Amino acid sequence: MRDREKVKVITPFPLTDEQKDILYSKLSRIIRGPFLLEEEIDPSLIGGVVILWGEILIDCSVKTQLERLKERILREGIPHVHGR
Amino acid sequence: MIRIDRSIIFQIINFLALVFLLLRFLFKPVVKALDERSNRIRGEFEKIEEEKRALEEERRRLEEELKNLKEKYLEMLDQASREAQKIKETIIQEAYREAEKIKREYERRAKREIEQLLLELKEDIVDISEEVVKRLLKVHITPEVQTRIIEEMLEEAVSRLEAQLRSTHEG
Repeated sequence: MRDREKVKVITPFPLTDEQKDILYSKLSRIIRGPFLLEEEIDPSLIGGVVILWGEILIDCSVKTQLERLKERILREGIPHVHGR
Repeated sequence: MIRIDRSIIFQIINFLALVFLLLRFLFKPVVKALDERSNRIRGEFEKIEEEKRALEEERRRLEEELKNLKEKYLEMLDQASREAQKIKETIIQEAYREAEKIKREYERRAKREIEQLLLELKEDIVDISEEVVKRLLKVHITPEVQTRIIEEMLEEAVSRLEAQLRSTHEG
């Protein structure tokens, strides 16, 4: 019997069942066969999720998004927001 | 009938003899001496005139030399003045250039400092904004919002990963 793949999921607060379902559903599209979610809590992420699967890192955390936005603002300046 | 006295004849003869003797022994040496003196005096006069002419010539030469020296002096003075003016202009231009260089250097430094300050200010503003946003998000990210974030962001990431894996398999 094949061992189940382990996928580490880091979130700022514990996952709800609905969130786990979403994770299984989305990750099944790229992971062939059964896999196991290893949950880890990191409040510094603020929101979103970080997924570690083998050598693959999927960073969907609000913290990283904010850092990217900050780097972009420092590099290019504050983007102009045009009113509709 | 005219009677001529013998004594008168003697007197005339005596007189003529006296005149001859005077002419012969007195007048001629005296005239000669006077001529010689006159010639000597004339010679002296001519010598004096000659010296006077020489002195006049020397005076004119000296005056000409003085005039030339004055002209030369004025020319040198004028040249020195022109040189001084040129040096003055060069110094002023050099000073202007130096001042302009210093001004540009200070402007460049000021600009760099302003840019550095603006960058630091921008970084401070961004850091503060980031902190504020983080705090606001921590308060406003509810389980529902977290679910939506996971769903939307994960969908995007998984779709991208799927495309990458597909292209790897195809390759």
